[in-house]
Amino acid sequence: MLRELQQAFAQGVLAGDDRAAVAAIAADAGLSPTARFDIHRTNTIVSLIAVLQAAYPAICRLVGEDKFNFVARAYVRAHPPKVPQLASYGWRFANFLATFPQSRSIAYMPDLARLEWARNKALFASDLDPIDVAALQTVPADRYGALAFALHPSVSAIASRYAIHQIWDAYRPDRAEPLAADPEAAAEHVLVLRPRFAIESVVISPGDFTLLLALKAGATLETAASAAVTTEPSLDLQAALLGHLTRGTFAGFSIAQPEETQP
Amino acid sequence: MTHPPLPPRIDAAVRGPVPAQAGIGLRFPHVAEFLDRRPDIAWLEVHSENYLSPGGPRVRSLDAIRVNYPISCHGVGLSLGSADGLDEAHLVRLKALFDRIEPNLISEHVSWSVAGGVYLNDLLPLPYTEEALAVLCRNIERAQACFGRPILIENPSTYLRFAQSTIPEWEFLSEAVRRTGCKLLLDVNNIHVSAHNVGFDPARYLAGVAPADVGEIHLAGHLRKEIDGQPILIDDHGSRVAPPVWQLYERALARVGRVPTLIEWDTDVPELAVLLDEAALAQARMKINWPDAEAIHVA
Repeated sequence: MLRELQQAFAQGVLAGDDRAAVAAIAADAGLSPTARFDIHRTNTIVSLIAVLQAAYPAICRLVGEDKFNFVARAYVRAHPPKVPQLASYGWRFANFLATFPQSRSIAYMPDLARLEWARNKALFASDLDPIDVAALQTVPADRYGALAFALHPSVSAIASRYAIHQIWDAYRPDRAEPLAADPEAAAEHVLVLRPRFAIESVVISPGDFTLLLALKAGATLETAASAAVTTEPSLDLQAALLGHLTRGTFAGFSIAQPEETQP
Repeated sequence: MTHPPLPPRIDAAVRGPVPAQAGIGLRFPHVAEFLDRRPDIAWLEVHSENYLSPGGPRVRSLDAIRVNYPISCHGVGLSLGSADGLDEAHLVRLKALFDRIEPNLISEHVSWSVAGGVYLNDLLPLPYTEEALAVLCRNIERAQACFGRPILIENPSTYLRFAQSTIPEWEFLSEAVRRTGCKLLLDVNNIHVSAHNVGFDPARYLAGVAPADVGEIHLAGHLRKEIDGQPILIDDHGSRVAPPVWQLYERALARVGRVPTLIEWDTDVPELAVLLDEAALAQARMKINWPDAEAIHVA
């Protein structure tokens, strides 16, 4: 039956037990059935490793292609794609790195993977025009606290105990030679976004990170600002907001209606 | 997309049928040239699955390029040969792409990639049996119903033959065309590669295909490799079209008539000029047979 044959092939490609698949192949002259099956196994595994290399270029450069391919091969076999849309393949890689025996000792690696995945997601996110400072001109100053911002669809924010943006920047694929970077140099919070064509990633302060997280959850500016200042008492809130409006972090805003006062 | 776009070409034919001329596959390294310089080529093919994301420079570029070129959407993930049936969510994604791009042609492979909900990112061969034929036809009919139009189905490159196969590949494909009303995308390189790898006569293959069934031809390079001391041809789309494939193309043209012909190149993609040069070589072979012919449009 065709269904059983296809399941046997999938199992042979991913799990390594290819006996049922090979048994279905005609013993023609030339290559053995096992060698013929291996061509398909290699097609799948190698092409999917290449997808991961493209999604995680800085990690690949940092650890070297041989080591990367070793981990990527294990990932492909443990988490093969579920949808034929390879732009979305590899989202579990950060968690996989955190548990895989050969990579889990490098503590910053999962966060670096989260940063690279955020860039990948930003590349394929919906296109929306960000709002700028001028868009807020109609908002009366006494209503600022009631503002709620919709984050641009390309936005991700990552908190790490390590200097992941420095590491990423040191090993980014468009650099001719990698730079030196110390993962222990600082804890970094990173904002990733693609307001128009180019993906950007920048380090933001811990309070700014809290601010974005709260706004993302739908909080008003007043509530989000209060949470942000709790995280980072010295946060310059105005500068942080201006930074986001300049950078294109927000795709829209609304003003919460004031509660009706009793007559 | 750093440059302002050229004014759109006002030409109704851009959205008509794909012209019976040589086209090339649009590859990411060449996208900027298509946006900035609008190179002279009759039509372009894209891999549908590369353009399914909601946004981003990739889909926006295609939105701009489709204004000036007929576009063929060539699927690599629908898995027409899956015994499990088609993935309805994937059909919906493809339909949304086709509604936006309005491709001049839609094609897929006679192969499978999905089993048990896992996508293997390879075009795996089918056993040529009555059961597989019924599965393939049911899936083609589902796809055509969803897209609201006939599709073209491509003969695979094969490295193995199943012991249970009872039907020659050309008969299997011809029967699928007869039952579903689809057409054939005849990949001449795949015929050459498969003939070598599993042992059949390419001339017999061509003779077994009805000319009226063929709506498009694919050409590509392949890699000659030795595994365990045995020569095998790998369909890697990583070089120029090989001389025996050009010869087979000439025979295919003589048999099926003038049809749109596409140059595919997927690994070690060279500069655009090389692809355009390969397309010119295909165009020149069409001219030998039809020196004064205007583009003959096929449905």
